[in-house]
Amino acid sequence: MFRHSSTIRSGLNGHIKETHEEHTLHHHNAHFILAAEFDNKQGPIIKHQYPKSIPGFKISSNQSSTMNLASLMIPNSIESTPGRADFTVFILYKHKFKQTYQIFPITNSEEQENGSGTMTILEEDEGHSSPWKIPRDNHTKNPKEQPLFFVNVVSARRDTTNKRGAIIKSIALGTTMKKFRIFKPLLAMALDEYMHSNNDVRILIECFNMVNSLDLSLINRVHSNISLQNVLNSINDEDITLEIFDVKGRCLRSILNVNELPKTDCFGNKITFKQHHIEYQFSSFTPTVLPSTFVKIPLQIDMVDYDSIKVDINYNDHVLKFLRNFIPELCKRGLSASSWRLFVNSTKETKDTLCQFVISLSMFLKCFDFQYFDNAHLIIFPYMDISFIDEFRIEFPNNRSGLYFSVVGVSNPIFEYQHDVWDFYYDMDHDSLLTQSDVAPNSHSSARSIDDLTKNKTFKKMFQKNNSSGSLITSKPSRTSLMSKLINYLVDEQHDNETILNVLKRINTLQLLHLLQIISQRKSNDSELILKDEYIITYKDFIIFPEFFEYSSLNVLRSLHELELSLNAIIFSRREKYSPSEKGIFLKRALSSLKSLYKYVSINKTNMANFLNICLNYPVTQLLYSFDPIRSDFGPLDLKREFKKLKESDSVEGLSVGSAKVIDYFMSERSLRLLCLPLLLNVELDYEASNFSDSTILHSQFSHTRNENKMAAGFWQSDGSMSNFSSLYEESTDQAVSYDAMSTTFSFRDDTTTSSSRKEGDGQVNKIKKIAVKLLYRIEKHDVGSLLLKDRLNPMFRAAYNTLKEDLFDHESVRTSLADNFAQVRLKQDSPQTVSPKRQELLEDLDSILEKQETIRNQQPKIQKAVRPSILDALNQIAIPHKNDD
Amino acid sequence: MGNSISKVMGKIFGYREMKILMLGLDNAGKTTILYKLKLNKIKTSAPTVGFNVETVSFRNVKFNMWDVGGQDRLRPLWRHYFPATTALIFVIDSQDTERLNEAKEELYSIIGEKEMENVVLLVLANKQDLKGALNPQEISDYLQLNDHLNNQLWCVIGSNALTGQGLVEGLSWITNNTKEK
Repeated sequence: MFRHSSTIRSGLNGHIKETHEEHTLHHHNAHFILAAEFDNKQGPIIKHQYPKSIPGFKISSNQSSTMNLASLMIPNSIESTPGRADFTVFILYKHKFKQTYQIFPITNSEEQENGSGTMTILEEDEGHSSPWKIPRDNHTKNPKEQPLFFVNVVSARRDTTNKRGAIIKSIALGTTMKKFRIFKPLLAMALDEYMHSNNDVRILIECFNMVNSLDLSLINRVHSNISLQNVLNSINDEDITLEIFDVKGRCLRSILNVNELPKTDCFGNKITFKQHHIEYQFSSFTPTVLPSTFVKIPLQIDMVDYDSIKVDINYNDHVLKFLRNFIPELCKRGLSASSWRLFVNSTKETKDTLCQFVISLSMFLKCFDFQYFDNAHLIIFPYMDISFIDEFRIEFPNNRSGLYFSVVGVSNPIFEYQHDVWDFYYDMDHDSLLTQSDVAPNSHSSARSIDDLTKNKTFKKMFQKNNSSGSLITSKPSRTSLMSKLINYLVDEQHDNETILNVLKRINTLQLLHLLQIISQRKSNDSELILKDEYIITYKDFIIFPEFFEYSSLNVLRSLHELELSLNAIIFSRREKYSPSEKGIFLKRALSSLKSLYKYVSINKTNMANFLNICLNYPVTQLLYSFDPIRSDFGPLDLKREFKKLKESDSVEGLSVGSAKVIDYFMSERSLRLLCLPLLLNVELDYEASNFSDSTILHSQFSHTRNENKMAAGFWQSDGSMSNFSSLYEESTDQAVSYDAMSTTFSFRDDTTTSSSRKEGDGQVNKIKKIAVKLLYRIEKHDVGSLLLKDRLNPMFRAAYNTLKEDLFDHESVRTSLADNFAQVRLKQDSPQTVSPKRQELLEDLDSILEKQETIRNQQPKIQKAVRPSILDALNQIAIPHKNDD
Repeated sequence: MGNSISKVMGKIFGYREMKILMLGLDNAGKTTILYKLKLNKIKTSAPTVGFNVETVSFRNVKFNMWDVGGQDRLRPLWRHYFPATTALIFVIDSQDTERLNEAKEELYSIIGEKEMENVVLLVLANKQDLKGALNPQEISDYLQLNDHLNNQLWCVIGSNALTGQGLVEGLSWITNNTKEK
């Protein structure tokens, strides 16, 4: 209530009027600081809480909850590594109605039970009270509050004056900022001082005030731009990223929405921009107890929000290995067993690594974005002590119903014996995964002998046989999913976290396209599931990127795929395969796709960013023609060979010059090529297209492989309707309404009376070219898009685009002739500049195309053309529309 | 299934494996005993936060020894370590006579649990080297085990973790008294 009235007084821009002192007092960056120690007689105890006791965890109350909190701050076995600091993370959830914090998240039913009487006021309160709060997209729409993340540093030190020979202490900082890891170095230094000072609470207070003396609104603003962050994450090219954040370039200013880069924050703390980081100096803070060196160490924050919660571990070290074991086990489970509880144990790794491992998994589950798992009961416990097991049992009874998930990190093998609390038990140290079926049939009884456990494991190792009782999990014939297959390649090829995330995104988009196709083919929508549910149940890999499940994103994805299918038919199919009238339909569909894409990106910058993100993650759709992601067993497949086949195929994919490595090829960028290919369409196609009236003829005449036929039928329904699956989308959070109207562009019903394009005055091809140029021009106008076009566009396409753009816009600034453009391209080839291998291949391709252009021009077109030359033929006949064509 | 495998393995290779739980008040010397048995070294320089677990092999028996911290607030957590325990070693600081009653109460609290009713109990009257330490018989009398533990095998052995005195005897007693299990 206080926050509410305070908001009314100060107004929405209250924070702007705040003085530095007020800002520090309002604890925008850190909410609490705690100190704990191991008492020789009592065990772990909380020593200090500042600025006040955490509601629900008062020290004086001597409740078990306070003791539990201390056990999270003083983790097991810390005494065995004296002098070496370790870190843990714990999370507290605020109960909005009780106004207290608790260890386990508040369930939806629990919130509803507390009535809605005060809801209105509190919602209003939340919406305006803290303009500094990270404005995550869905946050304000969700009644749940951001949890408090506590980053805790703990250390044991030998001390001969202590009766037991050592002191063990820790400090934890509580913040709603997901970038809490940035405070690690500062906290470690503060703990060092605190241990030397014999529990001087002033050190904690000063450390707390120092953290709150910074105005982090600038970086919060950058991080809260989700659509921009999605694009930045998907670029996966350090050169382009550095160019985006170049202090001399305009892009960074545009991202920060400033004319000049700020040199200080609101309170005079110095800010510097280094590569894609912002460095904050504590210039306005003068320490009195802490050494002056504290303020000399800047706080460095990455402007690219790679992980919603920053982690320092490489996914390759543990996370992928775990997923390699875990996903096949998930696939074995029946549909009814979609919920699961996972315990991860490690006694050898640091608690820091353990916590980061759990947090990484939680990010794959999108736990803290209030997205998919909002309706599920979900517990993420980066480090859990045995003292929580009873509470956990209450939260997650063995026979509970509904959707629930938990990922718990532990550092105590005794949890392996507590069979009733987990469905999966992963031993990080030995990379082994136990499932309920691996333990004895009477696994609910916790009194299993150690002999049983050891022998089970030993026998498994001896005979490499799954000792499955089959009592809890119905085993199905195992199949290697696409996800598992690619994870194996990721492990083998050793990639960085960004690449791994982007591969997972592409798997997401590929499987999503496939799922959409299945949904579209259903005669009626008999499924009550929302799309994300259906995706998870279908593919069982639980890794989803919610941005692709937005209604508008799905439309973009579909449009790009329709464009690809159309271009495959128009440019890459054998001449005799489709009649001219059929090609006319394909032209219309390509035009329709481009139009809908153009309309979407024209609405606002956010849409453009979303569009770019989807473009950057556009997958190898050709895989869908050969394999069924739901049923195919990818285990025995050699993806390297399969990708090689794709490169030789008669499709847009055939233009790929990707790397020989599987992941590199899978990751290669495809969408720009797709958007530029229409620029090279032959205007003669218009004249070939004769009258046609019925688009449905296409379905019967597709003669590709079975899968391709299915794909096409799925995406091109005769009425173009999206109604079959539109109800499956969750409520769109952004431009659903505006884009709804656009969905009619998929309909061809109005086109059934279309006459020859020649009669329309402006042929389909020219229309396609125009809209493609306009679309590319929009991309070029976007800060990041322009850099993508500059760095990633094939020179051939750039030349075509520049020329067509010149004709379309007639701008002096862009006036360059086709000859000039080609000359520039050739100049680049001949120049001694270093060119990346991929670029070099493109240039070589261009060279061969230009050479063939000369020879083919002098030849009569053959009746039966080879397919690959026909592509070159299409590329050769670049038709430039004249202005008077308009 | 697990038991039969264990028996077969035992017959083939002639070894056994068992879980030993070592409990006691704080500063009784549990961790020192554990590492004296494991490494034949004195490793203790800090109180145990949580637990230590080590495997100690003795006469074809593999002891999985769990040493759990004995501080006041950690004692309620001992019960989580009870499952599948074959033998309990309860360590008492023989010199700390002030807390002997506290130790006795904790011991009876443990052995009163259903999960522990079939375990064999070894009480190590530790720190026998210290001046004023009660001897094993005195400890045994104080604990009144003879009066209360009629259905359970138990034994009190004097020990000195620093020298290793009494430790091997203790393991030997456990080995001899759990053969039939």
